[in-house]
Amino acid sequence: MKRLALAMTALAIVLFVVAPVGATQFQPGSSGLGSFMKSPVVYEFNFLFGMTGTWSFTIDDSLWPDPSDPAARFDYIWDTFFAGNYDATPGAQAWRGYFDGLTLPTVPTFEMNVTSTIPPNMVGTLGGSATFVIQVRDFVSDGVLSQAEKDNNHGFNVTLVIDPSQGTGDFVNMCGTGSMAAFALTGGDEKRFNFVDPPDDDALELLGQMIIDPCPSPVEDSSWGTIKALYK
Amino acid sequence: MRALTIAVMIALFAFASIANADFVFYYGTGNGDFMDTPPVFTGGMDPGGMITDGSWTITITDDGWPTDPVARAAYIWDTFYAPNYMPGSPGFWKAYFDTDHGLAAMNALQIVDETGGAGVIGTMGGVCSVEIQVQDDNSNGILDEGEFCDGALTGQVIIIRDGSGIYDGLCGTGDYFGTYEKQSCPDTYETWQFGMYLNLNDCTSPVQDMSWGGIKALYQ
Repeated sequence: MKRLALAMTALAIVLFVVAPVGATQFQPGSSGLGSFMKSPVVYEFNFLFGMTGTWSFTIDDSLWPDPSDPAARFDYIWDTFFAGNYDATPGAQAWRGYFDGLTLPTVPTFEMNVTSTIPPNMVGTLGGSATFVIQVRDFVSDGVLSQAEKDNNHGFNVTLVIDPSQGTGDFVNMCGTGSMAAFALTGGDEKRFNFVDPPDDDALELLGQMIIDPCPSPVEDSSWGTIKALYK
Repeated sequence: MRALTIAVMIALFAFASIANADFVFYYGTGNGDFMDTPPVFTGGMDPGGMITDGSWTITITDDGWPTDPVARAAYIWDTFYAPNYMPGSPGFWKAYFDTDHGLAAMNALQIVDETGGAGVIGTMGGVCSVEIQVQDDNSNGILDEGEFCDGALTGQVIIIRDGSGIYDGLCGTGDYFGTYEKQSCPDTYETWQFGMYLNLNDCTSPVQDMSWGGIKALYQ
């Protein structure tokens, strides 16, 4: 069943492609390891299809308690990012945690080292900014996180913004965006997000798409300001 | 065409297993407009997933939003996008359409599965968040024309146990990734394209909050 899912997903790379005019779209699947309970918070992935190579994302945990005290670290994560975001929709009670430039000291980042892609083949590195959302279900609808709920497999999605100044190789001066979500590509549902406490690696599989296109002609802010002023 | 045929054959093979599957995924493409009251995004399934025929609908909860187009657009921007600007190269805005960021209730999700071509074999519904990213191409912190035409779309999903057919008694969670694109930007009518993963479980055993509370109390 899992292999079937992987095969179907890989096949969809060919079928599910509508990118803005002039843009190149890739639909990479990836499998990786990392942990919110370790420091630094870095998840490192291998691409499974759509691209070959590796990629990683990093979340600034400089304000989080040290992993040597996992209870304090988890409590901080929960209290800071989740506890205040409880949705009481009947039958769909859940907490959502937002990890972005508003809730962290710095905007999370990502890096990709791409050794090949589906045609058109592109090789190089790219990086930029990222934001994450994690959903934790309150299965018993009591507004209290139980151990079973904490240990469950959680929804996870990320959006990416490509920083053209970080591109090398075929990604020099390339702009674009991306989005990914947790999919069980090769394993079971445990390949979605887990806190893994006591601290250990969390196996995470993501499916998503990258839309890459040449950056618009360089425009300085001061020039834009001048142009805007003309129309005021 | 050949790839499409292969996809359909694989999907038909997968169909027999859906009832016992612990997960379902599909690819959807559809349209909608935040200027509509309420905004309803709806469309069909694309090949490549386990649900290959049918429809999906996401209805954005717009309680309290202005109906005047100018005021409505300003309200949406000021409420969901403007407060969430992230500096960077380029900077970007991230809108979270959910109850944590100003919606009166979560967005409604409905899925109709017609895989197999013999009509509806199941329906399921629930709620979902909608996250939309807008890049500030010149990083000046001001939304300029052309910056809100396309971008990343993601969200979280909860399937409530009110399904029918092969989804009767199932509930679960999921997430999705994708894109939005305004067809004639800056017109607001847009196309959504996404892949959605759903982990479904048998939820037919009734569980009451009071019972769970009682059980928890025994162990505290």
